[in-house]
Amino acid sequence: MSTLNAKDNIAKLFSRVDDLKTLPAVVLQINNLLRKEAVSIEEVSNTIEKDAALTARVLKLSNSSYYGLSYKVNSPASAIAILGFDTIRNLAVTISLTKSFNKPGKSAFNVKEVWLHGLGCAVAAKALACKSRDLGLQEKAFIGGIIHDIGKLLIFENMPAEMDRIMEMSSFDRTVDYGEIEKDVLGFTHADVGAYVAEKWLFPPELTGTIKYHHRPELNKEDREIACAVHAGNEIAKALCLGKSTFEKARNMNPRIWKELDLTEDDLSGIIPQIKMDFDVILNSLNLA
Amino acid sequence: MKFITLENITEGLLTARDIESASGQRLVAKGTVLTRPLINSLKRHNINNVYIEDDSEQNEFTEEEIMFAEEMCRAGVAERFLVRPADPMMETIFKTALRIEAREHLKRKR
Repeated sequence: MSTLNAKDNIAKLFSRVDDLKTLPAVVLQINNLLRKEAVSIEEVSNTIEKDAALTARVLKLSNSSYYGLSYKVNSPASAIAILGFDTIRNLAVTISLTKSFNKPGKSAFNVKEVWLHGLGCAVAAKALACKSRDLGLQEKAFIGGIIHDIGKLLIFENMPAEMDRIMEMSSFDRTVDYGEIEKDVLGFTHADVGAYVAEKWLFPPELTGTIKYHHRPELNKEDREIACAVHAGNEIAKALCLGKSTFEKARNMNPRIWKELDLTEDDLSGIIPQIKMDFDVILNSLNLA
Repeated sequence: MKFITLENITEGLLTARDIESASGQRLVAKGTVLTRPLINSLKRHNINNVYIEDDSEQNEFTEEEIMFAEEMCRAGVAERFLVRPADPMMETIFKTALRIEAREHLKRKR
C-alpha cells in the first residue's frame, strides 16, 4: 500500500474518533508555547498551574531521585528554571498519558503494560543518549520513547477487532514482523500512527521521523542519533521486561547503532542497571508500582 | 557503580573510574571526590556523565548466591529475546538483564 493510502487510512481512523482524548489541552498548550521563538518561564508555569493535579505530579516527579536535585522545587516555575522547558513538558506529557492509559487489561492486549513499556523505552532512550553533544537530545529521546508505541494504544482503543486479529496472527509466528501483519490487516503500522500523532500534538519535528522509523532507524536520514536512542531503548526495555510490548521480543541490533550513540560494552554494563532503577523510581512517583 | 548525569549531581560522590576528555587526556582520577568546582570544570570540558561509586548493592548478596539465582532465571530472561545474542553488545545486554533479574529474585525471596 502506498504512503499516500497509509496517511488516508490513518486520517480516516482519527475522523472516527470524536476527540483525540488522550492528550489533554494543557499539554497541547505547552507544546504550542514551546514552538514560539521566545517563551517565558512564567507563560509555561501559568499553563501548568491551571491544572492542580498536574502541578502536584510535576513537582513530585521533579523532586524524585530520578532527577537527583540537591534541593526541593516547590513551584512549576522553579522546576522549569532548574530542569528546563523540555524536561517539564515531558513530565506533563508522561503524567497526562499515564492517566489515560493506566487501565487494567482485559483482553490479550494489556493497555497498562503497553503504556509501561513506552515509559521504559523513554527512560532507556534518554539514558542511552547520554554521550550526545546535543544537550537537548536526551529529553527528545525521552519523549520519543513515551510516544513510540502510542499508535498501538490508539489502534486498540479505536479498532479493537482489528487489533484482536493482529494479536492472533502475531501469536502464531513470533518471527514474523509485527509491522507486516499490521500492514496486512490495517494498511498502516503503529509507527505510522505514532508519527501522525506526534505531528498533530505539536511535538518537535524530529520526533516524527524517529517514531515512524523506530524499528528501522537506518532509514531516518536526518535525525539518526535520536532514532538510534529510541530504537535501542525499545529493545532494552523489552530485555529488562519494563512493561510488555504486545508479543514482541528483544531483537539483535545493528552494531552501527552503538557507534552512532558512542557506547561501549562497559558503558552498557553501567547504564542498564541505572535504567532499571530509574524506571522503578518513576513508577513509584506515578503510583504505578 | 552507577553512570549518572552531571546535571544537578550532588557534591561529595566518589568517581568510580578515571574521567577523560574527548581527546583522551585524563582529567580526574578514579577515587576522586566530586566537589562543586570540579563538577563545573568537567561540564566546561563537555563531560555530561560520570561513573560514581555506589556501595548500596555491593554486599547485599554473595557472588555464589547471585550465580545460583542467575541459573534459576536464565530461561525466563532468554524468553525475552527473539534469538540468541549475536554480538558482544547484545551479549552484554543479556548478561546485565540476567544479573538484574537474579538480584530481584533474591530480594523477593528474602
